[in-house]
Amino acid sequence: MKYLIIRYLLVSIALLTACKKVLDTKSELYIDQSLSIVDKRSAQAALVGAYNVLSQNTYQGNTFRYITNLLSDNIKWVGNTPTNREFDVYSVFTTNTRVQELWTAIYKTINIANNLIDKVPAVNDVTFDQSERNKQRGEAYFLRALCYFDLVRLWRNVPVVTQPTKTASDNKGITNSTGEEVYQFIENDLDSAEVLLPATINRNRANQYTAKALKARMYLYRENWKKAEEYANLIINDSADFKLTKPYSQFYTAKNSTESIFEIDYTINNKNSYASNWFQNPTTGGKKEFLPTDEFVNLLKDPNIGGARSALMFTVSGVTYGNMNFKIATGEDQSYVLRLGEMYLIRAEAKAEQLKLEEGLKDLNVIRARANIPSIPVVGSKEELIDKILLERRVELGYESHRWFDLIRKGKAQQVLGISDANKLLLPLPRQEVLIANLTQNKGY
Amino acid sequence: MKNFTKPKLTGLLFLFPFIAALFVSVIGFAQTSTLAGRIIDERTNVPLAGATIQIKGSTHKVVTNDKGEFTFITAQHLPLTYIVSYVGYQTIEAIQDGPGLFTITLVQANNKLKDIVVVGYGTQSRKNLASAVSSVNTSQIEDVPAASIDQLLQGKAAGVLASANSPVPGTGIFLRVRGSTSINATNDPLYVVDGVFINNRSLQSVSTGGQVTNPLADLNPADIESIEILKDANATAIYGSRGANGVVVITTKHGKLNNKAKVNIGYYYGSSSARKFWKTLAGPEEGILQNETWLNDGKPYATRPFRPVAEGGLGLPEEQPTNDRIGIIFQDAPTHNIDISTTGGDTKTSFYIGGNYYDQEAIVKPDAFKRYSVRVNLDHQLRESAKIGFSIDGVKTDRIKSPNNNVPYGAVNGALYTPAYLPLFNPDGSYARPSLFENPYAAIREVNFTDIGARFTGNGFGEFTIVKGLKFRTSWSIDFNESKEDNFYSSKTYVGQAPTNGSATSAITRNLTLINEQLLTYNKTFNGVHLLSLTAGNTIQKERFEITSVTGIGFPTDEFSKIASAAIQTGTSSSSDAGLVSYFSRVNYILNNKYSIDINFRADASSRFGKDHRWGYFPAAGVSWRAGQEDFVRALGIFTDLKFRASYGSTGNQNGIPDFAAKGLWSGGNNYQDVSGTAPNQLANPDLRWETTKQADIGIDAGFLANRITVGFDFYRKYTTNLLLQLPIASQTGYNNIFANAGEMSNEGYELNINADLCQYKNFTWSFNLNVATNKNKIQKLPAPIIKTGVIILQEGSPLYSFYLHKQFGVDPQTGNVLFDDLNKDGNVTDADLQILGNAWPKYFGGLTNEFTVFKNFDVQASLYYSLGNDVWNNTRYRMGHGGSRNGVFAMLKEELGRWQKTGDITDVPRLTVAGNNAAIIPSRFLEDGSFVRLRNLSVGYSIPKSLLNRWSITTLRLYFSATNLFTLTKYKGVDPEVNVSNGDQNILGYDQAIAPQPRTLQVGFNIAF
Repeated sequence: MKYLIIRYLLVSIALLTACKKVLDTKSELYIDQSLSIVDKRSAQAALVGAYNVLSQNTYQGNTFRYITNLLSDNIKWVGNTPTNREFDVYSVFTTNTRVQELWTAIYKTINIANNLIDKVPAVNDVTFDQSERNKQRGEAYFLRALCYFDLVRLWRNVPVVTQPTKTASDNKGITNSTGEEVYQFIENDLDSAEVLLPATINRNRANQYTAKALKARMYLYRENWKKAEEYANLIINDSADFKLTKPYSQFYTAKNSTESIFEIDYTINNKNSYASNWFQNPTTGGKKEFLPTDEFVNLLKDPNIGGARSALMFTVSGVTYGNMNFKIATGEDQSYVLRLGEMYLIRAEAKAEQLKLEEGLKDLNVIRARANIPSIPVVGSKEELIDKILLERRVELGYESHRWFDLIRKGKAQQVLGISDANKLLLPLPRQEVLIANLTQNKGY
Repeated sequence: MKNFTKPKLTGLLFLFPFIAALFVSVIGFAQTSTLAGRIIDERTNVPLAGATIQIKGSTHKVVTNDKGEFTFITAQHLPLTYIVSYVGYQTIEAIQDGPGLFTITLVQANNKLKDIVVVGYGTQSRKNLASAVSSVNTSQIEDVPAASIDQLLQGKAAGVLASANSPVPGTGIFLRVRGSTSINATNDPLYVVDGVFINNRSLQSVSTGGQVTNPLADLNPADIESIEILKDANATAIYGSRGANGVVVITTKHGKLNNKAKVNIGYYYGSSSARKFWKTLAGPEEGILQNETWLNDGKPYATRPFRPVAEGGLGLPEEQPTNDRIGIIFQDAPTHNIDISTTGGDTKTSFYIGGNYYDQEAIVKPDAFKRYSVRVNLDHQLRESAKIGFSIDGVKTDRIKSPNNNVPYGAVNGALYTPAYLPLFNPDGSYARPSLFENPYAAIREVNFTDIGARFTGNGFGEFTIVKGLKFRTSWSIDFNESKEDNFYSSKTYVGQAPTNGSATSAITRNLTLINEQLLTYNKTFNGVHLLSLTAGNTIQKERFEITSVTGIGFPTDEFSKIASAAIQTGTSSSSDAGLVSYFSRVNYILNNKYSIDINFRADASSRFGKDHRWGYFPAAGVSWRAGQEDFVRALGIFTDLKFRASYGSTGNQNGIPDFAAKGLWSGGNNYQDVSGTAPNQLANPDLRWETTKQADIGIDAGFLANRITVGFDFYRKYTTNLLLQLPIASQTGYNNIFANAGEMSNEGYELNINADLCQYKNFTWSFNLNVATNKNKIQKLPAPIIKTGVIILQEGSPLYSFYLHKQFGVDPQTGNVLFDDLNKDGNVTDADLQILGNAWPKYFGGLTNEFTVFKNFDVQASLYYSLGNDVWNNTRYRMGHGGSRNGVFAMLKEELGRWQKTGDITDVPRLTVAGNNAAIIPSRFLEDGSFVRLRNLSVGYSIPKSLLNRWSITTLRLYFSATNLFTLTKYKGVDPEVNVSNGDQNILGYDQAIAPQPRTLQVGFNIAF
């Protein structure tokens, strides 16, 4: 009797030691965050991860392009989910789920970039040489700048987070910066990226050229015409690496054309769902959320305006669909972030603004010539040229997320799009973020 | 090892009562007396085999043989008091003062409360029970055709809310015991079968758009002997970490010693059908309304969509055909069920073997569920002091699934949402998909989606009597559950159409749970008045969950469906582990059969929490006083029994949160350009700890008229702290949420249960059970509101399942626009005007069951289930009440015909328009009263008289007819108020989205025993 009790006690103690094993479970699917960036290989993997988050459907894969296209006057909404319609009619609710998912995805990308910028210099790995470290940090700086650029364009006054989030209390309490502060931060990041990145061509990853090209666009947005021209020059003059494709459609019918500066790459294992917005059964599948507006279709059809850009549409049984060689089945449509055509138009606009009308017109005519439309021999005024460039940008960069921002930059959005409330030119900050992070909501929401 | 010092001590502490108890064992009897007799049924005089006779105050008992006879040799002196008990009969206590043969008659306890109640790690007598425990009478559920036992609990136990999510057999149901206590950890009760936890984690890994397979459908309802639901803290605290949501204790059938083998065969056939369908617009009506929207929006008459074909239109409205799609997907669905079991025992070994084949098709094609199961329960008495036993349950389930509810490529979406004027077939004969949705024919014929489940549950135990009253039991179990899902969408489907050219997925999901348990019990009566039971034990549990899946697209032809033939093949695998270590103990002391006290204590450690917060300690206590035994109450002459109960204690919760919720993790698989990458996955929360629910319960049990009427009443209050929450955090951190203990929640309610034997005549008996329950939930603290599916909000100060909407006052007779409540009077309808307008949880819910027997051989049973005061968000109506704003993609319901047309029209259906707020803002008119009363089951049985059966040596033969869901009283405008499309989110209730109604089933069957 007594020994039975003792035996029971012994068994319990033996089981207690077994318990430790039962309770100390280890994940086979995840790694502890302390092991995330510890050597060259893991740093490389984290950087790839940053591109992955950038490429996801909630950001460049779909949502960013979805929202910016609907906000423009090139695309109209013909879908069936009322939340998506809000962008088309410029009445976006603070609870809009698309706004929230985009906001989250952008800051997720920023957080990985912050991790790399913070950790890479301190990684203890002799095989991890300085040039590789510089390249990795440079890419991280570029990605962070790209993210903040999208944030500042859509929302303007956003919080600037510069440090990685390691615990729940990190980066709490950071509130809105002004748009100008955000732009200054982007400029600094692009400066760092430009210095750190090598001048090697890789059209799917950041390098010195992508940093320069994004700088050209950023200076254009900040109306620093001189610098915009200077940076656009740096790309355009490198004719060994960058050439306009001909025909026009070639920049998107083949991957990584000579025109491409930075395009986000998709493969069958990392696909996006953007293409399904464009078509309808039974033509090619898809859920038909978008159709080009009648106005845009007419522009494309006009031989003096659209020219070769008429490839951006096709008509099946009386319905004209937008098209950019969308691949619904494989979801491998590239997302075009920066390309040479845009650089010409940046330079044209920057020159025009500096009253170098002739030079500006020359750049414009390069793009027109490529689209097989007649050159404009002469313009009478800066305003006329600017208007022509704006129209050119509208058709040349038709579905590439520029139109909405161009109209805002040029102060024409309200008039062209018929928006009575100027506050609606910025998206609302997601309601949940305003509540949790104590952010200031944009005016009018 | 440092952190194990404490639990080790805890473990030792649990043994102290036993060491003390060893000093008080009593031994020795000198003389013997003999009792012998026969036990028969009071009404039918049939001998009762397997009844138990026990001398009061001793543990010595014998069991009657198949002639109902027994012989009892005892060391105690005459006269002595003995207790006779038999399952399904009232236990009696009598005094025997002389030797000799005697006959004891037992009265059937038709719907009387059972005298012995199975509780956590043991049994207790109901008379002295200090806990709130509901027993479900299995005779009331045996005629109901349901794949899983959770659905059978509907309306059968006070405080248990069971609501079917969909009419597809073998899918999950929404079940809560006394409300919901958590937001992100589980709210499901713990299921314990024969003392072993049953994992009810669904293994479905390939989404069907909402429905989730129900692991409880693996259990054959016919194998079940009894079901108890433990509700208050005193009853559940012994399950500690797992008891916060109540415990469903299931006991399966076991053989009885000294009992001739008996064979039972049961069969039924049922046919199910839908009784209510959606009323969608006919083709011409669609044309008229779409044109009207066009014109209302100021667009030119000349280009209205339904204009003559010659003018480039779709044809005039009156030329439009009406293609019925809804009829295509429904069917009269058959159900077959066969149960064969045999049970018996010799002097040392007893057995139960039960086999089941269950085959049910869904009323919406092509879903179906089949189950094949075998259960073997074997018990063997090795010697006087040692007993061993095994239970093995092997189950195979075959499911045919389909994407059925909330996906555009599902059959119901395709049939319901496609406007009727659109064609079903293209001119070339192929399936037309003119809207966003799948062609219903293609959904039914061209998708092949199977789910083969295999489950093996095995349990072995040894039980040793160390000294009289002191028992040691060790038990080892394994629960292996595997599901293999295969689907193939041919090139003729929405999913697989060109350019995809066929799409297939194959996934294997596996869950393995290993449990070891030790239990020490001690029972002793001192001086005939002090009854002491001690229980202590430990369990160790390990769980592993694995998924491997492959996907292929691009098949050469539709004849190929295996992924080996696909052009593009991708695969993935993952796994997860969890462990739980527990110690528990209970002291139960009863004085004079009048006063009873329970003290429970459990300590659990979970691998899911931060290292310093693994251990949770869960104490509870309960007291009861049988006032009915007091002379002054007896003197009143009102009560046969009167008992007051009170309990208080705490229980925990950790189930349902991810296995590594406390850790800071990065995930792999974040690839770019087919190079593997990593990304942050979740933030660490080293402080993550147990969610704890404290519960107080006060109850009264009263019996009147020799217990022909019994009434039970409970009031409870639960308060949950350290709510496990996927707490939203500022996304600027790069994370959207963190698992944290944030928030508090309360539930309170009362439960009333009445059992009455209204008539007990020889040729007519009538008994009924009524139960009523309420539960008031309130989120006491929550850091930030959480919005679900756009219409449900979780926020501080409001209950769970609140609907959060823009209130519609009506339609302005002048303009035809919806009049919204501008709550903040700022002149605009914005998010700031949203308000809580209803709740999906019923104000009252329960059941009413009536049972009759007529002329001994006829039995009739009618069970009502009701849910009153709950709201349902009718998203089907919302989607189809769009007033033309959905670009002709969604069909409209007939109610749109009552839209505002001209100044002065009084209606709540606004003017048809794409513009403005009429369609852009979700209005409250689609929130409906979802109250209903349903005749859940009506069955009529006839037992063929014994005299006719004897020559065939058949003991019973019962034929019956049964109808399920014969009628439903409700004001709800959808097809069924009992609906929930939660997409696996437990915080969603009462959300109707293109779900077929619960079927009406008519069924015939028989049970035969020999």
